[in-house]
Amino acid sequence: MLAAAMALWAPGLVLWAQAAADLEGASWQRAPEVGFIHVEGNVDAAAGGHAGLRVGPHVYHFMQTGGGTLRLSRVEWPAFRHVYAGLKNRSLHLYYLDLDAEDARRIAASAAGVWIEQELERERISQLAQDAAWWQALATGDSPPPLECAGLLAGPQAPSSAEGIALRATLRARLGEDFAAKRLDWLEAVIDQVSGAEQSLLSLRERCTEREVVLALQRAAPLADAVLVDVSPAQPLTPAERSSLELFRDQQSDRVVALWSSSRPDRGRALAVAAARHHAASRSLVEGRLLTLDGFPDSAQLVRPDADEARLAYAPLERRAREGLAAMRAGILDGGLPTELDFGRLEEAATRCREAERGAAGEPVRVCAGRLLPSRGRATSLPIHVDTERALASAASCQDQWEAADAAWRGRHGYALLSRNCATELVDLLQAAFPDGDQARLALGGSLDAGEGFAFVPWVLARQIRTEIRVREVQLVPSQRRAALDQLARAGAGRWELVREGSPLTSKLYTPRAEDGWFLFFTDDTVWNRPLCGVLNLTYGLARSVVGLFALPFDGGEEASASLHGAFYSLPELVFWNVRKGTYDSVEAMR
Amino acid sequence: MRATALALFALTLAAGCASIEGSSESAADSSAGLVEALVSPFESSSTSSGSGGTAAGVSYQQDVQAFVCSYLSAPSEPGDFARGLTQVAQAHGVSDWESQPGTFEVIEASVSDPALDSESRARLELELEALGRRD
Repeated sequence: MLAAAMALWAPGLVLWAQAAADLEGASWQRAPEVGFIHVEGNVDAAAGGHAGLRVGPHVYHFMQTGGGTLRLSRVEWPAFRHVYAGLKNRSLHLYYLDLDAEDARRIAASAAGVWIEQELERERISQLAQDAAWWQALATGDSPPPLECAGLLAGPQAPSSAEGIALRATLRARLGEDFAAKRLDWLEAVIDQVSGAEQSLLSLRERCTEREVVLALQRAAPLADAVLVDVSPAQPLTPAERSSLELFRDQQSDRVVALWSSSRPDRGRALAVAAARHHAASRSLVEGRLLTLDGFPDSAQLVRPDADEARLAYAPLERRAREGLAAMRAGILDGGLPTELDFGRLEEAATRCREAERGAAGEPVRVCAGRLLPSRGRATSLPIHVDTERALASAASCQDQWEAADAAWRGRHGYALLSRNCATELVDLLQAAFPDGDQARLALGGSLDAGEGFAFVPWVLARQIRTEIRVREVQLVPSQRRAALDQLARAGAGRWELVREGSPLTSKLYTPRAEDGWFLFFTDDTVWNRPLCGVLNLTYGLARSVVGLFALPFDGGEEASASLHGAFYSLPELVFWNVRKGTYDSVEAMR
Repeated sequence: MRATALALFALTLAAGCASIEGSSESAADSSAGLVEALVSPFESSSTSSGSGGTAAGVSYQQDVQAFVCSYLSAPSEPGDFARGLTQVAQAHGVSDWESQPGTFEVIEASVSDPALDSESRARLELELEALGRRD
């Protein structure tokens, strides 16, 4: 599937590589390190291992998502390492490729391009679904889905606020007394025009968002309820923090003025965020403590941790979040003007920290991958009327288009165990950076073929990479438990201490988890006696499953299930193969 | 050999690449999100990349460059360029990309690139004009 996408991409990549060669010195054109990552297997869906491509600070990897599709994910290296080597206790083998600087840049550009293309396409599909919902609302007179960012500022019922009045005064001084009225007249006219002419309602949504923000600015509206995160209620602002927040508040005020004249079709969102950040900074200064906007989108998944998860996973996470947030706060609010990139990170860290607090208290937690940006939505009444029949027909048409686009996406990105998985797609991603196979071979020092032999299996692909293409350096990032064992050995631990760590029943480095199944001995750090340990693990699992049968009426099958799970993953050990390594609820160090 | 591999897979049920998303992984997702939010700025701030600023800023500019290449590789509708930039910026936690250092630096560098064909240059010039970056 990538080949087709990259055929379109090739001219752009050539351009990029040439541009990079011509324009030396710009740091964004520096060559990144590129390395293949083989993630060792573990139980359940992780059994076959995993593969990723480290490109500078990012890791690209294909993940199986809902509906049986593969999606290219990009995460930052520390997060990838934390999850896979830490929580999932799987060693990472990195094979850094020996590449020319230009080829490394080419791969970085290609991977970023494929990822961006994918995200843009998902957004286009999502907009089709929104169009269908909006036409349906127009037909029935119902309220349409919430407008993103329109809910950051309070609705018409809220009284004006001091920060809203201050911002309105700035806008009046710099744009004229009737700044809002003029813009609203224009927006009403454009909204009428858009809704009468087009089937896509993206422009309508953008204008409606802008209209809501302009109305809120006209009313000098405060922030909406529950849109603020009280970072550390007991920690007053330092003089340096006050100085940074004053600068940031004034900058956001300037940006609202600048965005007023922006030609961006979606400027309403940016206006809403800038105005809301202005208000949040103003409130912080008035109240003397740091208040930031909540970054979670309305679509964030809500999960309720059980008591164990709250204690074992979220409580340590909260501690770490508090420490990290304090350090970040000092680093970013250092008296100077923070950039939006940095302030956004602080906002996100504060938001996620609050979720960790909630999790530790056993309350529902919002979960969302990727960068967060405040986007609280609000449903509004539509300022237009259209013919019902036309609206229904458009709704049906948009629904058809959305279903067709989504099905096409699923068809192109479907997961297949042997022919389209995280390993095969990664090879395509790597090779698609080059116009043809010869150039790829030249750049990589050999050729990769995920369809050859068992290269669809991550560890086999790792072997192919090691032997078939130029590798500059091999690096091992040990799993959480192995790193801890190494540390123990380096600290001069005695034989008995190391023997003790060989079993989850006596280990001090690992706490047995039902998700890992019940077992008697670890076998990932031993080979010669693996079958013997496997027999004992199998026997232990089966024996406990008998006990589990008796416990069935009391524990809902938890004991039996964990025991059989343990027995099942003992089977590979009988033939010298290790899958199970144990996992962790929490790992302390961000290694 | 292939049959052996298949048998091994049958034994272990799956070939990895499973999502870490989903309710059963909520703690891991929370943890990953937090680490990404907390660790990266440290690395970004401490790893100044010279003329272009922090690593986060460099990464943003690289994505803008990748987007420009993507944009030039396919036909587009009015507004697509700005909306695409919005999406790239959002992936970095940035809302106001017009004020973000580097956005226009990258686009201008592309326009000035001698390797760019005249049609692509004209498209970028038009987009910059639409964004008020040309007199």
